[in-house]
Formats: sequence, structure tokens, C-alpha cells
Amino acid sequence: MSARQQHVDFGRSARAPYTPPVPRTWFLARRSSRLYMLREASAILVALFAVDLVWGLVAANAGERAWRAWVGFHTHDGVLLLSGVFLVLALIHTVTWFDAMPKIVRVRLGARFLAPWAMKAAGWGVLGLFAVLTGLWLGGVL
Amino acid sequence: MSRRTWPGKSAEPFSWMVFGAGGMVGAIAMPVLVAAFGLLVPIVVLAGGPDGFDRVRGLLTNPVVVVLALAALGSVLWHAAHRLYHTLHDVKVHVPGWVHAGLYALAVAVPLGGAAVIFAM
Repeated sequence: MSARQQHVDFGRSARAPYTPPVPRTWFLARRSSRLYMLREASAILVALFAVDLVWGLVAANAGERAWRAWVGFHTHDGVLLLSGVFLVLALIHTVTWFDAMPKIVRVRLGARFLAPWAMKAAGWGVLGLFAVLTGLWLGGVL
Repeated sequence: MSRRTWPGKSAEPFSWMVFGAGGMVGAIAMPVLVAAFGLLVPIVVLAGGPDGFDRVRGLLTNPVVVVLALAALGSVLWHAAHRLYHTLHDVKVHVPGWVHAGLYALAVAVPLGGAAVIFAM
């Protein structure tokens, strides 16, 4: 079913409700909706780096030459700049996701609920742990 | 109109579940992975350091790790596909159902393709 189809067939009805025109750029009007669009865009664009990582995983399995080519691709100035942009976008996704998390899932602790700040802290804690493990692994300690 | 439809019935809960998982994986892993493989490793290589292949070889060639990593990356892609569809709606681009399904298919096809290439090696 197409998105525009309604469950009620307005075409056969005599009703003609007024729908105010909404421009495509409606979200530019308010700061909150601009931030909303930035949040959506960050999560969508970060997927491009996920595709890149699939390629990297294939390269790691294909052997040293393929791995070196994959890493080499990322040493170009433009690609490094793009990676910097991806890092900012990934962090926007992280911040907004951790902000939304306590609003969507409420963790019950007896008669109380887990405080939102504690959930956010837990998220950043897991991220920090993952960062430390990744650093130790790539650094040759693990 | 002969076919009955249930207005409340949809596959959205399933899609949303994968979306949620992908959002969580993306929030925790993506900043670290972008910093590590997008910036740190290339900058070390530019400075004349190692490319990390001897570090990567042991872990990323393990079949269990490959499957888990591809599933995680697939969930991030699914998350993006889901958001892209709904955000297109927000800017008044109402794509047909096959495009909607195609976005999810792409999110599945990329990691599956990766798995096919890796396990065929």
C-alpha cells in the first residue's frame, strides 16, 4: 500500500477538509526541528562508513595486500577529511541516541525507575570500554 | 475492493526492533570505529608506522567474529534504511513500497555479500 493511501477513502466523501500547505523545508523554521533533521541525517550518513567497514572486513580476510590498499585509501586527504566528518556525525548519533534511550526504555528498580542520567552514563561507559579495548587491541597490548 | 485490510497491522514492530538494535550498535561502536580505522590507523601509516595487519589478522579472520561483525554492521545499515524512509516522508518524498523494501534489502545484501566473498575465499 502506498504511503499516501488512506484507510478511509476520502475520494468518495463530500468532505473537503482544508490542509494547510507545508513546504519541504518546513524543518528549517525552528531550531528544534533543525536539530531533529541533523539527528536523522547523522544516522543515515554514518551507514556509509558501515559499508566501508564491510569492505575493510573483506580486505582483512583477503590478505595483507588488500588490507594495505584499504588502509591506503583512507590516507588520502579528502578521505581523511571525510572520516573527520563521519566522526562528528557518529558522535551526533551517539549523543542523540543516548538522550532518547531513557525516554523510550524505562528500567524498573523495585518501586523506582533507573534515573535517565544513569542510563546515559551506562551508554558512555560501554562506549568507553569498547574504545579502550579497541585501542589496546590495535596497539598490540591485547 | 475485495481484499480486507487491517489498518493496525504491519511489519513495523519487527523493523523497529532491528532499527533499535542498529541504533544502539551504531551509538556505541561507530564513533570508536571511525576514529580507529578512519583516522588513527591511516595517520599512523602516514607517519610511517605499521598498518595494523598483524593485529587485525588474528581476530577479524575468525569466522565467528566475521559473522558477528557483519550482523552488527547490517543492523546499522537497517537502522539507516529505516530512518531514510521515514525522513524522506518528512520532506514529502513518498516512495513506493518496493523502494521501501529495497532499502531494507540493501541493508541485508551488503553484509550478506561481504560474508559470501569472505567465506568463498
